[in-house]
Amino acid sequence: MIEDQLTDGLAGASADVDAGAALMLRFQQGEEACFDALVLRYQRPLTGYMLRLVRHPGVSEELVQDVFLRVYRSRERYRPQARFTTWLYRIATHLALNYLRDHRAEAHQASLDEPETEGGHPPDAADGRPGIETRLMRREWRRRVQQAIASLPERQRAAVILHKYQEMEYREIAQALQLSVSATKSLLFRAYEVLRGQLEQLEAMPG
Amino acid sequence: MNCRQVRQSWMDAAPPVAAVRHLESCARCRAAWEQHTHMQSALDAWQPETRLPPDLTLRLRRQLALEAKPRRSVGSRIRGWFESWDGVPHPGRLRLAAASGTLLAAICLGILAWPHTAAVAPAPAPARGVVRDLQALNHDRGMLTNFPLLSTSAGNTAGAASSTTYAN
Ligand SMILES: [Zn+2]
Repeated sequence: MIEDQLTDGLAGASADVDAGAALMLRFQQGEEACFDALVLRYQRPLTGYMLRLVRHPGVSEELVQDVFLRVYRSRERYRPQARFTTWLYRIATHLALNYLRDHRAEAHQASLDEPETEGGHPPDAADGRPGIETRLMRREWRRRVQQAIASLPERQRAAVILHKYQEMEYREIAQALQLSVSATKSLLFRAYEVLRGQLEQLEAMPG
Repeated sequence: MNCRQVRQSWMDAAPPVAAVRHLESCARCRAAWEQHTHMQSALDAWQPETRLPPDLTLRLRRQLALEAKPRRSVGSRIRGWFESWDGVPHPGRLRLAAASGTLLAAICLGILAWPHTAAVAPAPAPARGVVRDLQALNHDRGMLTNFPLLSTSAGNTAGAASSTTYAN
């Protein structure tokens, strides 16, 4: 099982007990409430990660749920050999990459933008909110950024999101992707080179 | 530091001084640095709205409760049946003997009540029955050739006639 590989694979990593690991250990000792605390603590960052990676709100919600179920089921085998988030994102990345591999044919066209309210706001509205034209330009701008990231191969995409948005170190990203640190650095470098080229023509965000 | 090492160092939180100095002497890396900062600000601004389901812990608990429902094996059912004798006021091994005795009696009753007729009268072998049917069919076809009106329209009529015969 992946959780076994995860707990085994993290041997040798730093053994600092962070807040997540402390909660997980208490949960392991039988404090069921600590599992709920873990869910509340990591639900948001995990959802953000999944959403950026699979670009579909419904799917990312299901995947997040699956991650926590796996955390629950593997509580007996958990060993705090690395930061808790490293372990958590390794499960998450494994599930997300599997999903992306299995659904490669169905390219999600779902937009991650907030829904536009009907009628919108007039330009220079008195409430200080941007006008409809600015909002449409921003939406288009976001779509292009999203598209640039989506164009990356799945592992590169995961690496960029873990590095840029989850602010993980190379060592942690390497563990999440089951790569060496040097391979992870090369992967990230290539991904950023592609993004640099793709976003070169993109002007500053409107408004 | 060469150009690749310099650009690679931009991924770090704090690039080394040598990488910054390299920019003063390398126009290509200066241009790439411009693109890099532009890309970084574009990525920074991409913040998809995350809507969190308010009932995730509840849903997880429900799912986990479903999984926790024990799927009882035959062994555990028999064990459970024996354990149900715990309520009987017999000391120690007597309880086990009473449970085993009841089980044995039930098995004996089952054997006695088993219908024996099926074993006494064996069913006719299906192959033999099929052969007999085919022989009858051939015989009917032979009979049809003796009736000119029916035999003129060849096999179809013969088939229909024979099927009518067998329907009866
Ligand atoms: Zn250079």
